[in-house]
Amino acid sequence: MADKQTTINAGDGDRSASQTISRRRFLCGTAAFGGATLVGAPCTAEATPDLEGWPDRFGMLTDLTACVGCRSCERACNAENKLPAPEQPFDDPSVFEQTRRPTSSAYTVVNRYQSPDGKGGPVYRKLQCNHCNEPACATACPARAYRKTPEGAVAYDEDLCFGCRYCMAACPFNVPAYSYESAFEPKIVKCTFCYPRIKQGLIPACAEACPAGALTFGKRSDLIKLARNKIENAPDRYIDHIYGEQEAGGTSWMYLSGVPFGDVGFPTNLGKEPMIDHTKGFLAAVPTVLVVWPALFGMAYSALKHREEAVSKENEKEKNRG
Amino acid sequence: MANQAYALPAGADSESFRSWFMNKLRMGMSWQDYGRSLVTPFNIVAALVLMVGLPVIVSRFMYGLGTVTHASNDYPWGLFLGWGLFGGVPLSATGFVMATAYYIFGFRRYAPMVRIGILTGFLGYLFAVLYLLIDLGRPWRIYFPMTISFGTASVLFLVAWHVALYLTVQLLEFSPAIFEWLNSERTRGWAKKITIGMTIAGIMLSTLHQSALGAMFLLMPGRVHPLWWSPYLPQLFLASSVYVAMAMVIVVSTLAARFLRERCDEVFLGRLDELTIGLAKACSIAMYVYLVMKIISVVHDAEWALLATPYGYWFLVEVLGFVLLPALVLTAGFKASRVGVVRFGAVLAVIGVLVNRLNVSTVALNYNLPDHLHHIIPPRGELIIVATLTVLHILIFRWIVNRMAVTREPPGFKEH
Amino acid sequence: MPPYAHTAGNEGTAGKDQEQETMTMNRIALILTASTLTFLVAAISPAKAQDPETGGPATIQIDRLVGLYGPVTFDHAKHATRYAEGCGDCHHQHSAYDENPCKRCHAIDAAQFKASVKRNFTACSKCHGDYDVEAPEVPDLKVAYHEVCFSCHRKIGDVGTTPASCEQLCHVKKE
Repeated sequence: MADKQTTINAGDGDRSASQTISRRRFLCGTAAFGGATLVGAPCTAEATPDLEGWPDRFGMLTDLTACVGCRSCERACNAENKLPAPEQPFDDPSVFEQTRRPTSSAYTVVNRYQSPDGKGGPVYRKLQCNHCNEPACATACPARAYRKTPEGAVAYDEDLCFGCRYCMAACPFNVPAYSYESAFEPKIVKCTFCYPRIKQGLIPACAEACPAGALTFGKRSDLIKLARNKIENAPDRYIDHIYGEQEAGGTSWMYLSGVPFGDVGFPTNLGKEPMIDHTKGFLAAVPTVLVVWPALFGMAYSALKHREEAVSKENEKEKNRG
Repeated sequence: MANQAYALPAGADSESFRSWFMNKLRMGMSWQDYGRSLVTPFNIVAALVLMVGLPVIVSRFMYGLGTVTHASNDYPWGLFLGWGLFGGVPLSATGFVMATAYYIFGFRRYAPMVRIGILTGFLGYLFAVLYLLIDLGRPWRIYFPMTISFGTASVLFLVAWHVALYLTVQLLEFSPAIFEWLNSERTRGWAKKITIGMTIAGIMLSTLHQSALGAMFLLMPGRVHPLWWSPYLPQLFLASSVYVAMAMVIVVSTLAARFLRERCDEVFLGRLDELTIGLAKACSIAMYVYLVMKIISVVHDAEWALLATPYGYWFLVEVLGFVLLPALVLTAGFKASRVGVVRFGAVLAVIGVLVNRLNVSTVALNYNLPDHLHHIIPPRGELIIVATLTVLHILIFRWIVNRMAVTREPPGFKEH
Repeated sequence: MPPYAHTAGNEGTAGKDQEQETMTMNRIALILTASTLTFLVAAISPAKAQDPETGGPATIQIDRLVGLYGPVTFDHAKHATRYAEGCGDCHHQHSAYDENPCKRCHAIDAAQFKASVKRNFTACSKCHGDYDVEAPEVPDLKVAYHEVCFSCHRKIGDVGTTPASCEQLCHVKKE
């Protein structure tokens, strides 16, 4: 097993240094401490190889430097999915005064941020499900209501969901919304990547609507090349990083930006490993416990019975003697 | 109070069974006497709480979760899970700890504490399931991960299965008391035979799901504050469940001896102090082990610097004030053989675990969202429902202890 | 069209001359009228008006893909003469995006090569037609329009940075 190196970048003020942890070395050393309960601890966590299956899966490249904040994408998504009309119309710029998030009636929202150095205009960021390569929501769901499709979309099946909302807690991007207002049919609400459309050979409604070229739909592998070309051709325009290429194991939606990603609301403390890697170690220990515990405690019980029988035999002997 | 509960009915047949059973329900009293006995200050307060709370619970089901929760997309979990599941389950480890201590490790002198431990555990898990039924978006589908669709990559899948299985195990472990009450000697005999098997199954299930509740948070390293997130979360949750189980047995047995005294026999009452001190010793050792594990979890990610932040101070309050302090109090108590001190330490320890579980599931989760502390204040609906279920919990506990042999040896049956 | 050249050396006999002169005069008048009329017609119809300096259209009505807004009137003459450094700034077939093989727009036959591209400039929609997911580097027509305009306009004022700016220079909301 290769020694796993993990780099975790914390960008939210509490930690300023990035740390490289050689997890296996340290943990295996301390795993000896404490005995049985540390069996199967994070020793078994390994780096997940790049998602090899489905090399033709789609992705979306979002160029934050191109977005004008027109919200045509929100409008198109709303129309395509027959969502209720929003309280504030799509051309009302006052929505930008607050930082919004997807809700049960809005699969995607665009937020505005001021350029961090004060120069340059505002920066807009479109926020929606990132359709991760190895989604935390799919890992979290005890009823397997999420699945990663060959086309790249992470599809949610409301017929399996019983509403535990673990996926909402697990998503590193805080994306899934829940229709709490429904008493009898509440469900998770999130971007579908326009899965029915992409299966028909169309492109997602938001990408079709975007006039400014901020949304480019295509094969994820092609988009990474395209993004690298863009960065290379305009190094002053873009930060040299494709967000989503590797974060949390890689996402279908990737982003290019002219300002640091942390300044426009992206979480920057995600490592490269997918979320599932964090629980694999624990789940790997389960079969061990299932088998070893009964044996261990069965033996302890046998030992106890043996001891007690020996003691009572001793007592009988004493009685007979006396 | 006349205790004719265990008298066999003369010439019992199916027609008089019903009247016999109704008689058992009201513990041998006439309906008038029973009714009058129910009017106590506690019962009046409890009735008021239920009168307010039960309609709120009904409205949650009729009008949706939005009526009682914040209906927040960033904060999907509130008190129902933070208190009822994450808090209630470790406090319900009493069953597995006491049964293991008695049946597997042979700590025979703790016999009087075993049944009350099992009952506490059983009711705790039962109520965890009730809290879950209230919290789930579609509670009528609660059996889906059991039979319809298996999300085997999910730690919550494991929790769901284990809670369901363990609830069954605990019911079976407690069933001898029920069969004694119903005077079914043969069934009781069968139930006693499977005790060892159930106990071992219980240890295995408890180990896995107590640690699984901690493992659930492994999936969200970016969203839980680094002082509380640790790759050792499963072990920390398991270790704290073991020590709080012992502290909880101390607390519950103390309360039973105080408020249900007439249901306790001389063995229970006479040995309570000595057993309490014995438990304190074991509990404090487990707490020191847990403390060392906590230190390791801070050292592992080199988080010393974080201790000097506001969250760090709160972390220190939890660890020093609610783990180290009760451990020291328990140590002082058992060293000086002072039961009162021990009881105080046990209460602190129980509160400490509740604080820790609420910290992990509510305070530390989403710590980096704006206005976080404002958002985690529970809404009125959640507080009312928690109060209602707590009252219900106490009432059911009392109902069972009043009728079945939990804090006393059953007359006419061989003990253990 | 240059005025008809006066062909020299065509003087004949007097009587025959007079008849011939009248015919020539009529012809000149006809041609002058025709060319004036043509010029006038050309001057009045803006879409077809030629910008004398570049030879391209003076203004263009972009009315394909009309949605929220009405058609956009684009002053081609002004941009071509004053703002662009060369035609290739916008008509970028042969510049940064020249991964296109020649045969995409030109005929392979050398004799027809130059003439094969209509008026030497391909309409944007020839390459920027329906979006092809296999070629994500080629945006669709609406995006192509915006990207080429924004390549300069993003640096001028706040066009391309806020949605309100959409109506400052180019767009008019449809009622």
